Amino acid sequence: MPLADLLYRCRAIFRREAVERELDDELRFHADQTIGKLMRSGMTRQAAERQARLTLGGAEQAKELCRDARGTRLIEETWQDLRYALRTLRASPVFAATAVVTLALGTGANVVTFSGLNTILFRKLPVARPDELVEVTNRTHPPLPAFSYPDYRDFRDRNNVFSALAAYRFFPMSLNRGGGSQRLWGYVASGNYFQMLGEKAALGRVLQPSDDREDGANPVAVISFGCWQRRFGADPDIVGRRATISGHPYTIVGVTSPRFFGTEFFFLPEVWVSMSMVNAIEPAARGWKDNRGATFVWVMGRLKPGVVAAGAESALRGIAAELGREYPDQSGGMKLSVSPPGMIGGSIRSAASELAALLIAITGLVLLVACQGWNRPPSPA
Amino acid sequence: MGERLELPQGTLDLLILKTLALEPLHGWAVSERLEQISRDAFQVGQGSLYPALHRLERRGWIKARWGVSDNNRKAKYYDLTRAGRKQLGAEAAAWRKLSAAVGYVIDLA
Repeated sequence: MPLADLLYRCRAIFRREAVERELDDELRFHADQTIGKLMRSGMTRQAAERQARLTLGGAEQAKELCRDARGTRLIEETWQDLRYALRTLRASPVFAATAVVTLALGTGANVVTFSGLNTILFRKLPVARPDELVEVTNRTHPPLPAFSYPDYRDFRDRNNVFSALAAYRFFPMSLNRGGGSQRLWGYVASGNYFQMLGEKAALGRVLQPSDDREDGANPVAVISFGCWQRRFGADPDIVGRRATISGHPYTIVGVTSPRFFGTEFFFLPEVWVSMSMVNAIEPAARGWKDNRGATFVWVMGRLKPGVVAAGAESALRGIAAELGREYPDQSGGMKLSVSPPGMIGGSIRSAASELAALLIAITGLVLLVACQGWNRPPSPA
Repeated sequence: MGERLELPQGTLDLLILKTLALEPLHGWAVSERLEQISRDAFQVGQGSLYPALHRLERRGWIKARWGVSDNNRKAKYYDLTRAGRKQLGAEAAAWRKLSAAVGYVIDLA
């Protein structure tokens, strides 16, 4: 915008009354000149005034068009509205207080909704390079992203898009120490789970692939930092201690870092044991690990450098098609997709998006109610 | 009074600039001058004249100042600026080119 234009508009805004007065003067001068001319041609003043009004057209309309030409109409009118609103508010304090409270509530509700939305939709797992992590979802079994363990093993061994592909499952467990039994949530995870996440232990070690090599051979457990503090009194000699988990003796080999909370935003697991111990953790479902029809595990992987999610998805679909041909009864018709981790696949994410949309609509309505109040101020008493 | 013409979009600006190129005038005088030199073909109402004047002023092509009219009244006079003179040259050239081309096409058909 050239300087002249800027100066002109500034004057139109900040010296609005002077500009309006000048416009009045200018148009009145124009009308008077026209009347004078008509009178010189022999008309009476009355006739000349009437004729001038007819030929000139409405002065008000001309003024409106001039205001448009100033290019500041929006600002001027907003300013007028603001002043009107302030006058109205001062005239009725009760209404003003109501409006302020409604707006405050509406704004507050919006803030809460958006921060919730932020957590649900945009948060990342607090591990190394979280953008490389994807959760693999099988939509054949909604709403959970479930695979059978044998299928997982084939995806893990046949793909060339993941630097690691891990399987896990969470399960309620009991922890027995000195006679008392406590309920807690635990993860049963494949041996490469912590490697895939790039997570190191705060004390001792995390689970490693060798723990998962032979069924039942390595009854070792990793506990969360919170579990170590609350349930074990931050025992400095925790590594090597024995504990009974779901009725089976384990050795505690490590404590996770304080910020690590597993791989789901909704759970706070306290114990991790290797997949090789699953028959001890879930005796009732004994043998599911070898059953291609038992879709019990969730699958998460770290993409190789340079691989994008869509590329991983198509590679996985290729393997799923192979498996469908090899085991049509159990593995046929898998519908695979990948999504950012932490939300139990895409299923909860989309449900959460819908909930968030609903909440935003509701808070929006609260704000609308406030605005409706502004539009209909009470008539002055 | 002969037949009145509707001014095509944009030509009023050009005519105002041309009128003011001779001497500073107030709005009413601009409309009188336009009627005279067009031999009453154009009649410019205040509803188009003043918005155009204000638009030209905003663009910095004309400059307004308050003065005293012949009949001793306060009146707002408009004068062409240096930028306005340049603009007038450019618009006049464009207009000549356009009208020549249109005329050529019409005569040809």
